[in-house]
Amino acid sequence: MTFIEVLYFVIPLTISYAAPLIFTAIGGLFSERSGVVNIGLEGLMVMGAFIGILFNLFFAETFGTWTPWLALIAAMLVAAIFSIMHAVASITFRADQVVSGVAINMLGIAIALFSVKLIFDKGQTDFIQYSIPRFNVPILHEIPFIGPLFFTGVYGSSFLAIGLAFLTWFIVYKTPFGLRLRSVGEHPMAADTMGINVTKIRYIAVIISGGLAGIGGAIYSQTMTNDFSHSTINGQGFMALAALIFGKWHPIGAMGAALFFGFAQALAISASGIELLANVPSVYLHILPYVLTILALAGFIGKANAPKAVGQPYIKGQR
Amino acid sequence: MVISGAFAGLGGAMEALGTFGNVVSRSAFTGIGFDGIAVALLGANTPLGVIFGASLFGSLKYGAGNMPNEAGVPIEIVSIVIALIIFFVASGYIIRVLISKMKKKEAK
Repeated sequence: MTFIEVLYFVIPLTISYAAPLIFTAIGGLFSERSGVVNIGLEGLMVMGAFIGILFNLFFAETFGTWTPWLALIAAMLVAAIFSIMHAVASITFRADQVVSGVAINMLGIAIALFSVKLIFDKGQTDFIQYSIPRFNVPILHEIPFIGPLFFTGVYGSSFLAIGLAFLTWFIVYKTPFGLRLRSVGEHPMAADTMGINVTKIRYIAVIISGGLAGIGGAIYSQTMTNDFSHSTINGQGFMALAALIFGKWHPIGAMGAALFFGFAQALAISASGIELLANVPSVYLHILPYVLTILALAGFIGKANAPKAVGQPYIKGQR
Repeated sequence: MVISGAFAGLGGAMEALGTFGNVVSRSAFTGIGFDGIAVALLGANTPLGVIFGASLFGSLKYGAGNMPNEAGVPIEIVSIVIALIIFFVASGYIIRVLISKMKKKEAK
């Protein structure tokens, strides 16, 4: 394979691997910007992946080719409801947010597998008929070089993800809601003094993060695996969290970091076809995304300026 | 941090050498490390409490193996129970609030 052919293969794969990570990382951004740590992204993604596949299997005949998109909405709703649990524990009950997130992770995978075993009587679901379709963008895919790279055989969900990142940038930095969100995460007491309902903003943020993580999971399961089993989502939620920190809690930064992690995953899969990497043992390439995650989290990126009040429950009247 | 890493490594080696006698490479992790966090929390971060917490989790996990045969319930119900235990231990604050309210009423 020539270098250009490698590029044509790896870049589209990178974008399709990055799309779920972008959705989940943006979800985490909403939650963390409001001051609630959301380790539970992984569990919420699992829930989204499971609901997406389940909806797709059950309603494939009713909705036909629209099924995957409706399944995304169903996954969003269920994961958003599921994330209310985390919101109640960490905001109203003042639980340790990390511990509550871990509980969400365990609960998500356990409930999903439990339901799979009850419904299908085996460890994994059937394969879905309608996965998210690939298509060529009209006109644009005829541009030389850029066309085959970005606009041929792409998933619609990838464009959604990139659009979402820019939309989030607009919401967080240019709208009143975004300002409130950030002020609640930086200094909740000052925000409360100015008449902002801290609890309400935090609830909304956590529920948004749950919904987006659910969409992320459903995109992953409907583009990559096409069924649901115990290993459908393995570490993507944590990777999205790492991308969020890598991107310094900024939507566009998080998108860039998610693309980078997507590239690492794509490289691991396509290594056997690339001359330069064919002799590298595949194990090294498979651990690459995780090594990068550790390096990113271990402060390789320099000083990460997290929202100041992240991880602390807001207690009225406390100094 | 280093000490905690050393103990976690010891725990992992015990799991591999004693309980199973082999290492299976899997694409997803078994989650036993997360159970460790939960045990520490359940034992209120005291060495003696950890023993009780770990015994509870151990018996739950061991019992899970027989459940599909005896009662026809999938193993995952145990994970659900454990997750709920963690969840309620973590949100113990609300229970303390309820208790203090009850006491106030009695005092009146």
